[in-house]
Amino acid sequence: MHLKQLRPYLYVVPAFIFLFFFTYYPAGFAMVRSLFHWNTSNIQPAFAGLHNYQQLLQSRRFWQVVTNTVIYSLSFILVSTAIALFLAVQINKVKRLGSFYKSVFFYPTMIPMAAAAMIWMFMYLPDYGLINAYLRRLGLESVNWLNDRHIALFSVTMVGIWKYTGYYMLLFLAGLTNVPEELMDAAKIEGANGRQRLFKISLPLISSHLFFILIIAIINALEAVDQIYIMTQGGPSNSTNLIVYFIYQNGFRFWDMGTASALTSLLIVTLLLVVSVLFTTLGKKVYYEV
Amino acid sequence: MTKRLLLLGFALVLVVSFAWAGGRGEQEQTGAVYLRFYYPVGVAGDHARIMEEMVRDFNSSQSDVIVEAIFSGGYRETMERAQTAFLSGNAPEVAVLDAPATYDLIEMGAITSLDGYIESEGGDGYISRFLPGFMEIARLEGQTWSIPFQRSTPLFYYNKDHFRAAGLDPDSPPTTWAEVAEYSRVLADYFDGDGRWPVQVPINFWLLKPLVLQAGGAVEADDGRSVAVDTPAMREAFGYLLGLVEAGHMAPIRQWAPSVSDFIAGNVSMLYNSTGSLTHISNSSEFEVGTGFLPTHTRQVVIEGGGNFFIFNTDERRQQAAWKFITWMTNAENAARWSMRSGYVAVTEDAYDVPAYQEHAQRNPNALTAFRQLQSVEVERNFMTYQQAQLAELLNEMKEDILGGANVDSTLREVQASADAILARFQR
Repeated sequence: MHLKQLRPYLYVVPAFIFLFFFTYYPAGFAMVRSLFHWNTSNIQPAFAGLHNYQQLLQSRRFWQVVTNTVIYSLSFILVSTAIALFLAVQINKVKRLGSFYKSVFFYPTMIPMAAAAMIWMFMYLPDYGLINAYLRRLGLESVNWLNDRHIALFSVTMVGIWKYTGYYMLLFLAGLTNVPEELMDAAKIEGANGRQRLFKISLPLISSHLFFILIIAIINALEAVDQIYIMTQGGPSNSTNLIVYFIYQNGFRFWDMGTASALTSLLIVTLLLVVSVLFTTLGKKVYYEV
Repeated sequence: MTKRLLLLGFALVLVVSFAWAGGRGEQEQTGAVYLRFYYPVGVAGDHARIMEEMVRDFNSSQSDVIVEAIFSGGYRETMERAQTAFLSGNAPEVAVLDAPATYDLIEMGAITSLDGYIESEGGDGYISRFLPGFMEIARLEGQTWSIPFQRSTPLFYYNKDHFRAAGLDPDSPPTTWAEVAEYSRVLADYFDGDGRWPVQVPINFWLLKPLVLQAGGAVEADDGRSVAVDTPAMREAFGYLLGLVEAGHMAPIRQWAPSVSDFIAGNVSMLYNSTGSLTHISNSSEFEVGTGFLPTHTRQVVIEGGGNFFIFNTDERRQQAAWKFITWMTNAENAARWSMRSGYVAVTEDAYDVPAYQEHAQRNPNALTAFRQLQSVEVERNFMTYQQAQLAELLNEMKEDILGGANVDSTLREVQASADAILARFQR
């Protein structure tokens, strides 16, 4: 082989080394260790077969966490992408101050999640938080945002949506600005209304963006942990415990690394499955500009 | 240009890392033992600053040992950090950890028994300086595993201004559960639905265990291998709490830290909390703060809590150095100093004879409430089991479930089953 042919591989080597040591190796390690008891009584891991998985599938807590994660992910993905698309379409129409609006809606993305969670925690305080102050001014009942197990999951989802919507909006905007003006003008002449133009022309043309945002949103939803750690620690009554926080809890708080590894493996497999299903179904229909 | 910058950056990294390595080497050369000391801050206040000061004073008081104080978050985070560091072969030499972690630390083989060191200081004569209520949790299966340091008990705080305004005697806080309910009624009438609450027992297993003991029950077995949740005493404790919630006198679920803020802001009149919060509450409140013993029921009893010094298994030289540090930190002057500045209970009897402490107590009569409570009330140990963090979390969750409206019977049954499953591997 010529050096020229080798070159592309050489360029990939640094990235691959990084990926190998910080992604593939730990993932493989977790999968192996998920087959071991590895806890305060077994400092040296002891082979356990599928015992960790069996225990998990039988525990009510695990299923509660799965349910929480599914509810969080679905509502996060649907609401944040819908709002992002709406904002992008509106801002795309604006003739003046477009960049002003862009930065206004994008700014939550620039705040680290930990800081954002602190801000929201103060806004959610029951007695002197901002949100309840407004509610009371409107003559409404105060809500115990983070300490009511029927509401807390909704409250932490709001923070995720608030944080990521601006980012998705920017991605949508990037797509929308690429939709050729002539196509829109032609459609207008043909008598297509706004909704038809959006669903028949814009959306199909930016389907590659839409697909990308969907993938990113799924990942952002499943990896949500910062705001949980800071705002609720998974409570009250385990109602805001999401999968990544649950892994942390089992691994570092309860020092049950075997169970934590089993959870990690389940998460990796689920993510790979979801993403590959998406690529083979929706991914096939995506329109890529050539 | 870029190339030059890169080179410059590389050179800088080299210089800094050599300088750092050199610094470490120098320390070793002087013959001093270098110790990493993890410590938590478990309550509100500027405890980290006080701790840094004390460690600095220790370092300048002698030249054999150099301690680096490493702030590690709350009790939970510090325990996580120490555990993880130990398991990756990089344990701190000495740490203040939540005392109920002892069973787990022994199970991992992380800590060393202190009996040999205690013997060298005079054995029982040395240990008898410490308040007896604090030593129980340090002694397991005939060995001593830790030395009390920042110890506390639950304490009853109340707002004297509210008491006066509501027509209650500001100098006699409620002493029984029934009186708490009664006082709450009076305070609720006075507040007349303006959003303030008469009383708060925040979500924490540490405040639940004394209630169960006061109702004549027990939570965990002495050997830390079993937990009893589905008991009449537990039901009675929840009866008390639910009674306050259902009467509208207590917000159903408040977490630990916000409950302190609520009290300081005057939104809650009576608060169950830790003696460790005393300094912060006294300094931050704009009203007159009263303190009392924990109101009781059929048995007058309280539990202790807080952090102890642990020495990790390293080598004899470093363990010896860690012991030297611990004896310094808990000598009479320093036990008094830490107590005065932090609000924690002074752990040794001789600390109360230090003139500065006596002056302090005269100025702040509340400072002695916890001490008097420990002297005049039965003291049981903190909730301590194997997998303590996991079970404590389970108990907190149970309290949230039940106060949040879940069915008491089925919740207790489920929690009992979960607790049994968690402890299954520790059955002998």
